[in-house]
Amino acid sequence: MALSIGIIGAGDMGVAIAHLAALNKCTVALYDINDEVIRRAIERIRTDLKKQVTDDGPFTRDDLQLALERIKKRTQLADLDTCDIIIEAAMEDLRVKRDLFKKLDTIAHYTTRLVSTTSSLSITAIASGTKKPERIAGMRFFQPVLSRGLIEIVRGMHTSDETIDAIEQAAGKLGRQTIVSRDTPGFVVSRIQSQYYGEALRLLQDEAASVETIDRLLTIQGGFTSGPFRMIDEAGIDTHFEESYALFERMFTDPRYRPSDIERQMSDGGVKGKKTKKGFYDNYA
Amino acid sequence: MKKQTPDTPHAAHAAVVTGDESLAREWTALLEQHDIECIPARDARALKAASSRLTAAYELTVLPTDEKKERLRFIDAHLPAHLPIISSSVTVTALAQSQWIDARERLIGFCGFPTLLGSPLIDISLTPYTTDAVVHQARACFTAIEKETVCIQDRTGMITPGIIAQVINEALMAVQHNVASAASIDTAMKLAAGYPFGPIEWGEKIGFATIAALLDAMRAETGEERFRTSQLLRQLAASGKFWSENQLAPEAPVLVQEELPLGDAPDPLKPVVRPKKKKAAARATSK
Repeated sequence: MALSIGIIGAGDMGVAIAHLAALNKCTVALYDINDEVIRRAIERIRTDLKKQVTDDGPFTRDDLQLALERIKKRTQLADLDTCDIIIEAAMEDLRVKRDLFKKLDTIAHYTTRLVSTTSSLSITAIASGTKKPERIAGMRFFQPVLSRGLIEIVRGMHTSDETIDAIEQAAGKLGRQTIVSRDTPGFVVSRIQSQYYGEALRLLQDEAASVETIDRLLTIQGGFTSGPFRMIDEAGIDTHFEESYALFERMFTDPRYRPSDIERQMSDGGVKGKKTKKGFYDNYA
Repeated sequence: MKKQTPDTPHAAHAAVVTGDESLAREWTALLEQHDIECIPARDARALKAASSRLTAAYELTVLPTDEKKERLRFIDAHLPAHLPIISSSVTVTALAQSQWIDARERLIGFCGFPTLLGSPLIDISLTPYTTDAVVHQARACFTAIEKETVCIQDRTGMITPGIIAQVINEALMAVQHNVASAASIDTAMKLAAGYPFGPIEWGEKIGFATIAALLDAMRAETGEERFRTSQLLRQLAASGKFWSENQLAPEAPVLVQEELPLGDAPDPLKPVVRPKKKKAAARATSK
């Protein structure tokens, strides 16, 4: 039987997960409070799916049409009650997420697993307002979702083994490998990446080398897929700064995780990377 | 190194290569691929005989040991005065190294570091004494082996090695805090973040003692707490392996490592004394 996935939030992450899930033959209930937002999200998925139809590609037009048909618009949370798994991809705000999970806890069927895609908040804290925290876990996807082969599953303080197993199976159906990490600040990937970005930003601050030189050395010499400054520009400088700041606070202001003043300045000045067409690089069309 | 006989024609160009065995071997192979003959650094006669064909000397000792000093001094004393000395400056700055030799103007730093030598892009660092002629000559040497150079600030850790060291240290802190297993962390960073190697796998390739020494050097240079090393890195640097519950089997030798003081990483060239597993296991079984 096809896995049924509820997705809360039709922003960048929600859209990418819906696309991935539909392509992997899961039924998707895409929820947002605004009907227009969902309509635009589905249009975006349609456009992105069309780009995947190539002569030598694995997908036919029919495959993509079927994928689109698997995505249903939802504007009532209650409509997600029968999903096998509900993936929350709402804004990174603990109060918002905690309230949402409290509602989901009362709405969703008792067998439904509830997961958050948070990159910086504690799963234990998000689950703290619910009566069944054992069915709540983290499920981190990485951009670009369609090409990154990993999902990081985060085990909260009360997450049960059954929930972890269920999420691992769901990730398998999405064609992704998994690792399980403990609910600690930044989990695995963001915590380790904080050093990649943080050290590069400090080198830039010290004028050890230019943005281009640091990125080129790390990609050509180091073999990393992408340089830190190009990646920050893609994610959004303001977004990255907020995540860095959240990690720093959650690490009780340990200097290893101190955010960069360069990012704060750029963010305050409206220079936010690719989305503003100007960031560490300015060659965005 | 190719063995020369009286009948073997000499390559048009030659270079002196010295340093840590595996790095020197890798660099020698690279030079020889480009028809540059490698002269053993400690052979003063060979150096003299090849002097008209020499283009540079490469010093590839990563850690700032007495041996690195001695090697640099030997090269400085025997290499023709106009030739550049291109020295790995990852754990000790080019400026600091230039103080060890007489002709300090001819020393130039470069990113001679395990796992990075094969790159077509290489960073070099200058000292206030480095002359334009030396920079020009050094760049020509790298161009001859098809490497593009970029000039960066002369600082401990340079660019890539310092970042890799921080990443490896953070991964080991995460293992120590039981955030995930070492294998999971390696998988995660390769698949989610596009790393060429998992951080712990990378640490094994470079050598944990080298990573610890590099972070110590960065901390000593900057005085910054962010370069403090994890206990697990210290343990791996000293013993070369992860702690495991198995070593607590009856009568098995228990590896107890005292925390090393800063800047006192063990010499990676010294053989590591490992517990005798088989005998211990046999003793445990016989009981």
